[in-house]
Amino acid sequence: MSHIHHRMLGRKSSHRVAMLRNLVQSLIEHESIRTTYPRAKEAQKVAENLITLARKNTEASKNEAKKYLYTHELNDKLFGQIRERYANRDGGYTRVLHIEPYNGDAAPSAILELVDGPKDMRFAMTAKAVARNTYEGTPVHPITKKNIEKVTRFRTNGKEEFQQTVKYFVAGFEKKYGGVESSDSSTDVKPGIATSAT
Amino acid sequence: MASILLRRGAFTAAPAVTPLFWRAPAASSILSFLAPTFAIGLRINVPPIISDIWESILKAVPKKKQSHSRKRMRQLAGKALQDITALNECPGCGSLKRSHHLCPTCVNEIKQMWKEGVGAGGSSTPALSEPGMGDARSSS
Repeated sequence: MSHIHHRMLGRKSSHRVAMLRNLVQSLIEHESIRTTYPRAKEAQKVAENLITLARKNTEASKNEAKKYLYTHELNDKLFGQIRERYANRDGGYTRVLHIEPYNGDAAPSAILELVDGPKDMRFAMTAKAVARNTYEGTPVHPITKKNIEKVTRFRTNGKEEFQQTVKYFVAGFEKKYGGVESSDSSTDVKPGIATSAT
Repeated sequence: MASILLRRGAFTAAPAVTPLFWRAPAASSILSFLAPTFAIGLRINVPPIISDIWESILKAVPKKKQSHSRKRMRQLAGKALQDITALNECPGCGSLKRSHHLCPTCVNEIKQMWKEGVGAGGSSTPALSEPGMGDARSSS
């Protein structure tokens, strides 16, 4: 089996292909899907190929994409909005993130999402981490800094959107634990109250 | 015992038929005189009446059926669940979470934020007909 480079997912070929088509279609439709980890990884491959077709943007590639997707409205979205979003990005259009199992069988679960989309979980998580640092007055972790760079590099108005999201989360913290700290992004605030708040 | 003796007599007598045939009764009578000592010492012979139950009952076997509990304890020995030690602090909320996994509390909170229409991607991807897509799906 070592020469086969994809997961069987416990299905015969036709069933597997149909499932992956459904998953990818849902991904393009909703920007983010939650499924099991192996399925997410397999769907990721297909989705990346599909977006590559969209970036080529030729007649042939359009036909190929049309063949794959079940709904033709999504073809417009793929060759419109998504193609423009990834015009400058060479690969890595999707992301798989581990989440806690949501099924009764405790299967390893994951979120498959389109990078820089409206449902970018890592963008939001990074913003929340920065918001917590801002609220508590603690320094930003080096990994979080790296993530900020990753998340805002190709996004249009990335930095501004990021700041807005951080503000939203800071407001949330203040609402939850009391708005003693300053809501601006000043980093030198007393950490004593912050630790008591958490 | 008698059966063995007869069989042995028959075996020795078989190659040479006539000269030993008349001697056989005499030999058997001598050996039958010694027979009880052999029988007690060796215990080779199983009477045909109990030969059916000899293997299953009369040999050394457990006295009682092992209880379900004992059986499961034996078979599950060394198969207990492992403790999860790969844990760290969620950067978003500070609670404990599994390493390399997203914190479920934060994930739910972020989803709630998206439901409210706040958050990422407002300008970069102005919601390509989200309701329209929903309609297409519900109609199909």
